[in-house]
Amino acid sequence: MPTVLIVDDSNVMRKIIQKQIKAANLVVDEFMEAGDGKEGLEKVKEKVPDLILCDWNMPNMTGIEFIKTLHSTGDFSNVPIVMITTEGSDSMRAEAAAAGAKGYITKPFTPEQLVSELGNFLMVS
Amino acid sequence: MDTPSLTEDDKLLSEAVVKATTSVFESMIGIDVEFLCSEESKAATMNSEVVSLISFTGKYIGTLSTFFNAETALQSASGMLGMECTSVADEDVQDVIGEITNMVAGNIKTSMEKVYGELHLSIPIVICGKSLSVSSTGGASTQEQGATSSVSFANKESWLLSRFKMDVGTFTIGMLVKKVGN
Repeated sequence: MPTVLIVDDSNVMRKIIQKQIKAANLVVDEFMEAGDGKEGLEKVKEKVPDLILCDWNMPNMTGIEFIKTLHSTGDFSNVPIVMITTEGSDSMRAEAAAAGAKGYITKPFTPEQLVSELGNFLMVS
Repeated sequence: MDTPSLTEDDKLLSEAVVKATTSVFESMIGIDVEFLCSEESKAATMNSEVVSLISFTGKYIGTLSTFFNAETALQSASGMLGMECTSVADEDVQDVIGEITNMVAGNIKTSMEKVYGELHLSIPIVICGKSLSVSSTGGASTQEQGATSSVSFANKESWLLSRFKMDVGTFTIGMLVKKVGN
């Protein structure tokens, strides 16, 4: 079963994302957590997740910088990343897609929206 | 939607606040909130026990603030975390209020950018306590003062205050928007 890394500077939001994924009946074996992009890179080197959910606005290294850095590293370029952020403008969606994000979820989100966006990466039980 | 005597710009802003706030509470907290009214306010002071502020910059600058009493803050945090929260001093409770502010601001920003151009949001700050006063002069600054929690709008601009009702009380979303260079 898959491992999911959640990169978000809010401890509470990391908990809420896990809660909503469970509420959506998406199957995840293990959640990993990181508080910013730099910590996210360290976590990926420790264990390569099957999916990364990443916030945009974070201290030290933003989500978009995290994606670009990760995708410039050959070993991890195939790990899918989905943005989960409050930023919902068309220009930011396009910027995320251009950087290599495979999906884009705006907060707030419902379990149904999670299934819609993450169904390509996670099974529904 | 009860928005007496608002300008057309404020009516649009009020609609964005209501849409964002109800969406956040329904989707992430599982609570239906009732919009009561939006009104302009100059030099107002509000009593509040938990205040969160987030600033935005661009061609327009301003602040979005959320004002909760202990009861509404705790019900919001309990709903979002799926566990009973009993103290606003709890870090998780304050994080929830910051996240609510962040999500509401992010959604409003998306709506506002169609009118005001590109905007950038700060990271939210949360203040709580019984002996706290917050003054804003268009950005956000804080100071301790007085015997009760209060927010003083120490500026010449009008705030748009939108009030909402939930089971245990009411809370308010305040917005101050100002064009740069005026």
